[in-house]
Amino acid sequence: MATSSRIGLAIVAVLAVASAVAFAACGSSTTSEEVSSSTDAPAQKHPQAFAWLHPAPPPGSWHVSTLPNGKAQLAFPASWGSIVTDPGTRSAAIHSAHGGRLAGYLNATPQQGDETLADWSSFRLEHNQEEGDTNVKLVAAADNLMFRGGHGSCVIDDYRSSSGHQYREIACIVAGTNATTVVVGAAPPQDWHSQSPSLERAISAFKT
Amino acid sequence: MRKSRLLAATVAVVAALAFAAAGCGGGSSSSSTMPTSAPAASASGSGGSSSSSSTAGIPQNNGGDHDSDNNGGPSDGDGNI
Repeated sequence: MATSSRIGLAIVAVLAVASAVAFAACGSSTTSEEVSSSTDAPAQKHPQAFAWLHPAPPPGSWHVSTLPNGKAQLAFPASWGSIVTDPGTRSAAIHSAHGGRLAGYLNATPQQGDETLADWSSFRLEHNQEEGDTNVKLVAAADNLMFRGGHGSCVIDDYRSSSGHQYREIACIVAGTNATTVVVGAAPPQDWHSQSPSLERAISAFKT
Repeated sequence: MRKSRLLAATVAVVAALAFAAAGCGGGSSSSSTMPTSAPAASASGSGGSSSSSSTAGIPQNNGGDHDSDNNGGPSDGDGNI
């Protein structure tokens, strides 16, 4: 009798351990998937990643391009050049010295879709996926950030475009007194270190 | 007495296992995965909007008049596709 009870208790103990392991494994799996899911992108993630954002006019040597609607201004370094993109938008880029590879990109676009300051991080990542980008990964997100004449929400994310090029971007939606406008700065990973100061300066100077 | 304790403990463990299994199943079905890559827009018509949600979208000619995000370049700030 005593022996059978011990055996029974041993079986119960083994089952309990198995249960705990199964539960723990289940939990870790869910967490991992949530990290890669854009729809779960939090409004705030590593907000300190936007400590560089200090609203200020651009350096005097920079170009300033006004959107056709007259409600936003995109500034970019003199070494960059304007590029043609969608009507109603303004874009600028810099290319590498060798091969003409895109090394830096800036764009300002009036609010077009259903994007809002409240859902910006999830909207942006989902939008990039819908455009055919893959490996879209959230790096940082923050809201209630101050801009020149307004406030906004920003996200930093990595993605691979449909052509297979990898980019990191800073994308912000900014609500000003007269308009809500999206400003984007992007660069390939290998150029991020050299170009991010210009991207961050341009976004700090962005006005809408 | 011992048998009843043993029975109660066994029931508790089985219940825990069932709970764990249910949790795993639910997490699996509710978690979202990265969608497969959609092809870049390549519409040749002009003036057509590929927006699914915009009410006043920017014309996306040629998937955006050779716009970079529709041709493999960086994504612009357009909330439309």
